[in-house]
Amino acid sequence: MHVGTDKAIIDSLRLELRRGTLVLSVLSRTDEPKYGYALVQSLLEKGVPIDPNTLYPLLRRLETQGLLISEWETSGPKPRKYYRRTELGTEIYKELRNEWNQMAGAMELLMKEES
Amino acid sequence: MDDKDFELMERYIYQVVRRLPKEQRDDVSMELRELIGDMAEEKESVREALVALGDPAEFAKKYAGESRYLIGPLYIDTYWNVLKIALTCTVIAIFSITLGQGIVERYDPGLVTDLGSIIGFVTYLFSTTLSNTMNSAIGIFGIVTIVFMIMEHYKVDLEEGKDKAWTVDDLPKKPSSEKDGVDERAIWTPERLAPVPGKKAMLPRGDSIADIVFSVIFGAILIFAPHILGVVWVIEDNVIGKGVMTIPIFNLDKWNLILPVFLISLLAGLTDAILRVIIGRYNLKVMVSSIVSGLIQIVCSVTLFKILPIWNPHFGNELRRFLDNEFGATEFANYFDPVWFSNVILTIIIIATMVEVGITAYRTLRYGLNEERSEDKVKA
Repeated sequence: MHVGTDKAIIDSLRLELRRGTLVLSVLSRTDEPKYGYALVQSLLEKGVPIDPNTLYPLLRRLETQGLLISEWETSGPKPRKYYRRTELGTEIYKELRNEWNQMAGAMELLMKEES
Repeated sequence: MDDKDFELMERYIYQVVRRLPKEQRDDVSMELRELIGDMAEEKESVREALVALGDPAEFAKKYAGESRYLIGPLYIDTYWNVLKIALTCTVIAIFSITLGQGIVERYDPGLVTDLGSIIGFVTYLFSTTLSNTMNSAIGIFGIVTIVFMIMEHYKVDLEEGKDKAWTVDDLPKKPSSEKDGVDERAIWTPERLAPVPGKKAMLPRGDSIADIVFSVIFGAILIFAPHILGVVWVIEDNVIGKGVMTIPIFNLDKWNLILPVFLISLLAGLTDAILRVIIGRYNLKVMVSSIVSGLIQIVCSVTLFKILPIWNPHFGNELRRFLDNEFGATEFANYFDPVWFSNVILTIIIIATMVEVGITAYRTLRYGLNEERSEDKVKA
């Protein structure tokens, strides 16, 4: 098989694998109000790189779903929009976290057996 | 950030927000100013920041989400099918009618001798057929698209399995707790799988498409060129020169009464045929549609042939006057009895319609419903 195709397949699979974890990553960092780019950086620090052009639309979507709430902070040198988890967001975050832990454990088992 | 950078940033933001709904634009603009500012600080140039963000059109798509469809995945296949059939019918019908009409109206045996007039004649034919065909194709494209946009908007159900007669059990439960509020029909269960139609329950698609093509062509002739239905011949006259004469068989003086009835009848048949193509198998919907459209067609035919003055009252006289017993025209005119002619046509229409409705009803009851019974077995 062509090397370029291989890479394309891996890239698209990796993207798919990561997509589901993004909501969880964002919810985990928003117990305190954070603005968009600070979120990008704090996620990157923890080894979760996310493109701003993915994150910003995602934040907006989570807000319409009621998981996040936003507020414009206009007192600083430039206006910033801060996002924070709502009560519903916290509840859902906990459920997703349990789900993730179970899944991670199961995957661990699966792949240990395989190797 | 200097003026040039600022200008660049504003241009980028504009390219993103102009693709978004109006009510989001201001807020997203502010958000992006914040983001690009932050990124530019880190990367030390606005240009770098914009390169990292990538194509504004792609960015806008992510903001818009994936749910904004004009015609979504639920309908797109049916849309393409219907569009293909509708466009083919229209193009064939309008093309042949405009061409035929152009030839009948403009043809003059004398022009064959002159190259200039041949070219003029061909150019005329070419431009009228082309523009008429294009216009109608665009019109049909628009109509089909609008119909499907509306279906998408209201999520009209084309799926199988919900066409059983309504019963009291279909009433949604009154929500007493949160769980009960969930619409059970929205929950997919394997029992709701529509059975694979048996061979005998399948509707031959070709027949329905032939029906559609015929209805469209006949309808277009009735609307645009009813006068070509009749006797057409080329004359050479010393006074008026060479030309094409027609004696229409229909009563064009009363056409404003006759045409609507014709069109209602054709439209009933057309709707039925389109439904058959979409559903593709015998079932209750198809049977009901067949019966209703058959009834409409019979009522229209009786109105046309027994009540309305459908035939050109001067047909016989004009035949005698203009054709001077060429090709036995006078004899034909003498024998031509409109009442008898109406009766024959009406009988043929009624028998043909009843046979078609009968076949549909028989096949539906025999094969089309069988599978719904076997579906019940799955449930049991």
